Amino acid sequence: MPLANTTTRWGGVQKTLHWVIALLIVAQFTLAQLAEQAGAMKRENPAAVMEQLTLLARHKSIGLTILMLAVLRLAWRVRYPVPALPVTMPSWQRGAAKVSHVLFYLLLFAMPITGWITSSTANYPVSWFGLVTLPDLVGPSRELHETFEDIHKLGATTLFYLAIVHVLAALKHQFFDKDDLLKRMLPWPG
Amino acid sequence: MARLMLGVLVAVACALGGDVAFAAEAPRWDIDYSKSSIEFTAEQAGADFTGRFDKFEAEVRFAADALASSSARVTVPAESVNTENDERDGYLRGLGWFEAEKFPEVTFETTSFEALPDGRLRAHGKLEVRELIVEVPFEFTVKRAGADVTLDGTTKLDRFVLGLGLGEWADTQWIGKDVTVKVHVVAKVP
Repeated sequence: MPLANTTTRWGGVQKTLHWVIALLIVAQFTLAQLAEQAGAMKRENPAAVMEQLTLLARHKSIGLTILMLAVLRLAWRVRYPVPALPVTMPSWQRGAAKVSHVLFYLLLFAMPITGWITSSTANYPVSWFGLVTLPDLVGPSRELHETFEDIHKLGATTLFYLAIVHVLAALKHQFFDKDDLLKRMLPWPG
Repeated sequence: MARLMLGVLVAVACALGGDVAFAAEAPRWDIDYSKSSIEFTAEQAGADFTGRFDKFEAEVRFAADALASSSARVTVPAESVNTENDERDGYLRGLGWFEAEKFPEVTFETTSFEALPDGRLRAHGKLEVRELIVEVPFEFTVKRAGADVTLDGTTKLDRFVLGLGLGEWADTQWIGKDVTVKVHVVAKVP
């Protein structure tokens, strides 16, 4: 399987980044949900405080990993041609696809960055797996913390529904339109 | 009569300050609390964060050439802990940490001073946290310009030795064991 994209097929690098990031995003939703549940139990169960701390620390580390992969992914996408959409695809669907993909790229950057700021403004500096401490993008501020926490959560909701639409659309193309659109992003060659 | 005059002379000499070799007495510092601070840095989820105590009071008598008669007693209201995060501050003031309601004050009282070969000074003292008394060394420098004096010092504490954050809070992977305290005092000396 070639590494670089061609005008008809995605290359190995873009495929790997696509699926790795997709899996990491699923992990992020899971960790965030578990952290929220632990947070709800903090009052009756003090051990839940440590659990939430642990879950959020992992959430932040994975978030930073996604940010780094997003940079790679964007660089690769800009550098190499993107496979053309099938000729059979109506123009409104092409438009919708382009918009959704731009939105995905925006969220790939906006989610980690707003998360990072949410943490910094609460005076919880972010560490990547305990190995590297990142600078605070913004100093402590209760107001900014609330704002960015809201933006981060709104972004998560948007990403969630966008992902559902994306998956359903891919399945529609594969099984209804039968235009190979899903197949060319699958990790195995051919 | 001669003894009375000698006594008066000694008293006057003492009143004039520590420059008189045979009756050196450490002068009392008039601290400018608006310019002074007690800060601490600790690690949380792999990243260092800094907090402070918004209030403290200190009775300091100090002169580098009158170490024998120097002393310091610092009183810190535990409730004044401030890490720019209401949730974390709540835990710090509560059970398992400072328990500020039951133990309103953290105190530090010096027992002796020594001059170090590199020009710095070291105080030995007793730190009392929740009725647990621990001996801690405190290393510092003093800069004097006329009547203005500035002290900068640090000490490294182990939160377990101080009995802070035991039990469910004990996992040092998420809440670091070491706490570095930084003290900055600006005062006037007669």
